[in-house]
Amino acid sequence: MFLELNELLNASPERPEQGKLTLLCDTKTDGSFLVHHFLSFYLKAGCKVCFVALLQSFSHYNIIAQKLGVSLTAAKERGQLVFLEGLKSCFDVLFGEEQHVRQTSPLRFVSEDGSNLKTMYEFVRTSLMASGSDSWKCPVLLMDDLSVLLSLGVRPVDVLDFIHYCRVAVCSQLKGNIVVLVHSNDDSEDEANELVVNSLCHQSNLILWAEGLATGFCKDVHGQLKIIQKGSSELKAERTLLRIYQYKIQDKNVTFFARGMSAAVL
Amino acid sequence: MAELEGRGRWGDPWGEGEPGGVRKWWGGGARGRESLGAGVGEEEPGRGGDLERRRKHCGGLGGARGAMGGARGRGSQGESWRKRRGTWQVRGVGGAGATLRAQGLSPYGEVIGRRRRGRLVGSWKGRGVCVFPNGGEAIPISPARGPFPADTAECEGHSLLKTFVAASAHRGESVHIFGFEIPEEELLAGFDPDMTVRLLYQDGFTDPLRWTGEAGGFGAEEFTALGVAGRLARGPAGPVTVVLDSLSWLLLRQPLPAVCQTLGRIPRAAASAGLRVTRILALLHEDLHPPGLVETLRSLAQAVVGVRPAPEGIGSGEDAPRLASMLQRKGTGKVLTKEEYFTVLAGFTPKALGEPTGSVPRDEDADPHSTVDPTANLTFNLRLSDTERRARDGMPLPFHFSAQKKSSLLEASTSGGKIYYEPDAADDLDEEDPDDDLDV
Repeated sequence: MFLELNELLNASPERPEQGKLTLLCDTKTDGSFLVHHFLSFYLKAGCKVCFVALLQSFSHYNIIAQKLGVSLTAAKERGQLVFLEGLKSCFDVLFGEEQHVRQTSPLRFVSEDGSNLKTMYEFVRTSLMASGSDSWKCPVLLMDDLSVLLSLGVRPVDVLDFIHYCRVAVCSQLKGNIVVLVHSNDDSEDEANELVVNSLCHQSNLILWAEGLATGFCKDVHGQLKIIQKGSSELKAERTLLRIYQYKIQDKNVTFFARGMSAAVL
Repeated sequence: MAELEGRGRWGDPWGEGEPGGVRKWWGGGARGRESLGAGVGEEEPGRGGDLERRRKHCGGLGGARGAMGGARGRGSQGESWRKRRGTWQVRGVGGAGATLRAQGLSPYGEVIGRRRRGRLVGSWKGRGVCVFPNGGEAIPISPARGPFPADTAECEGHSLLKTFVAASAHRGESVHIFGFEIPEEELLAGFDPDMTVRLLYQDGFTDPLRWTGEAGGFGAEEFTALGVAGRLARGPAGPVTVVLDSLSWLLLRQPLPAVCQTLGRIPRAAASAGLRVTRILALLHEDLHPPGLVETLRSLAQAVVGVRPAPEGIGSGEDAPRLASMLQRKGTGKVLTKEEYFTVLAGFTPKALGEPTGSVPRDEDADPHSTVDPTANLTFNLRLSDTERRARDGMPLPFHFSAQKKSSLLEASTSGGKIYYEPDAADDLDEEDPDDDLDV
């Protein structure tokens, strides 16, 4: 977890917020550092985390988490982390020998027509349901990333249905949090992806939008982060807060600074 | 014929097309729309014009009579559609046994006329879509009523929707909120306790697709005229406002024709249950739909309120000012457009912050796309602010001959200049011939 990002978001692992949907978006850059931040943040906060990792292998996430001071293997053994490794599960579903694995896998939709994400939703719900023995704080669903589902041939509406039910179960009923990463590219004219991004923008409470620099690549500035905090419309209309910072990713940390204030310029 | 082609793209009429039909049908949306406008929107025949007259105006379909005659089928609501002499006819059960019969151009909810006792009831409005008048009946029979707040991701419209809800509750109507997007507690937060008594939340959020099998919720498949009317009948009698939160959620999961048909039938189905639906409020997220679909819904609604963020410097820092662009269709056929800044105060009372200055009220027929502003997206600034303009006006130009400049030139200098000359040894000055040195 990156302390500077915590300060910007006014969050601390001692008191994680509840019932929020956070959308991570990246355009022309890689926003996965945000996923690593939230993974280590919620594990340190003592939340029960269900991590649906469709993009990378477990060891990849584990190595980075260790750099950030969290051991995923230990968290898994403690029962704090439920890790769904999409790469492996996909292989098992498509080429696995055992019939019952194919039938019960949360990624069963891959071998079917790809329209029913209900099995994956049920996996999320059962893994985050509080059982009597554990004493974790609020449950958290982390997804890296939703665009992979679209690439697998799932229709955008089915993805939205899945997120809808996750919101109902995790945010509304269990008072937990959801963090999802989606790639976005304005120029790509990928309508399905844009529909998912726009729809999630409407539903989310916080949007972290990582963008590559419009002027090109730079050694000292890796991109800029747009932080959009939605005002709650519960009592009256509130101004949506938009802040933009530039960042530089270092070995174990990410530094944020105001636009045009990088070390290279000053 | 162009009209025919445009209409042919509408796909199969009974709403049993391929999944994801909404998008497909609107793939050629712009084209279809244009043809609709060209085909029927040129003239405005008076109310109750006869069938022949209207056929004349729907040139494309009239021509198709022979070729496409005899088509028939059954709709998703159990109604039967058939094409007869070039026009679509629908026959279905509109409530408690009353037979509804409508005739129109397309079987997609855009029924553009109605036959009653042999006479055609209906009127024409611009853009080829007819909004029914309230002729003699107590129930509103317009296809879709009431304001449609339309928002985008930058500017949420839920708070505006809540002001409409609060206003309806103040009038003493019971408000049925069909919520699909946000949970009940979030939607009802902020309302007074005496007001929440009038608000009835139909829970389409918890289990709309019947994945968990929870009882009591409102499923997406239940969103038909009869299903909605059944829910309305469970509430108290009296005038009813129906709120859809949001229409976008439904439109992503149901084809546009089915949704439009349902919207049009809700008042009648409710009337047969003894309820009067005064208005249908629906929130639409504009950026989730293709522009053609949004335009269709705009033309179906009696009032549309578009919400955009207001530019900097409007209102105080605390509240969030927005710009509302309103479009209202009066009963007389007059269309009013207006833009206004507003904010929503606590308790969901809207507060007007004045109209944007310098905007001319636009003509309803004016096409916003016809005037393209070439100076819109420039990397440099072509416009002057007031201070810059004053500074520019105050700057004297070099060729401008002012009185001050004239006097400074003419006035003999008081200090004067003096030339001190020390002759060189080589200087040979001849007093009598001062031009001696000139090589002539």
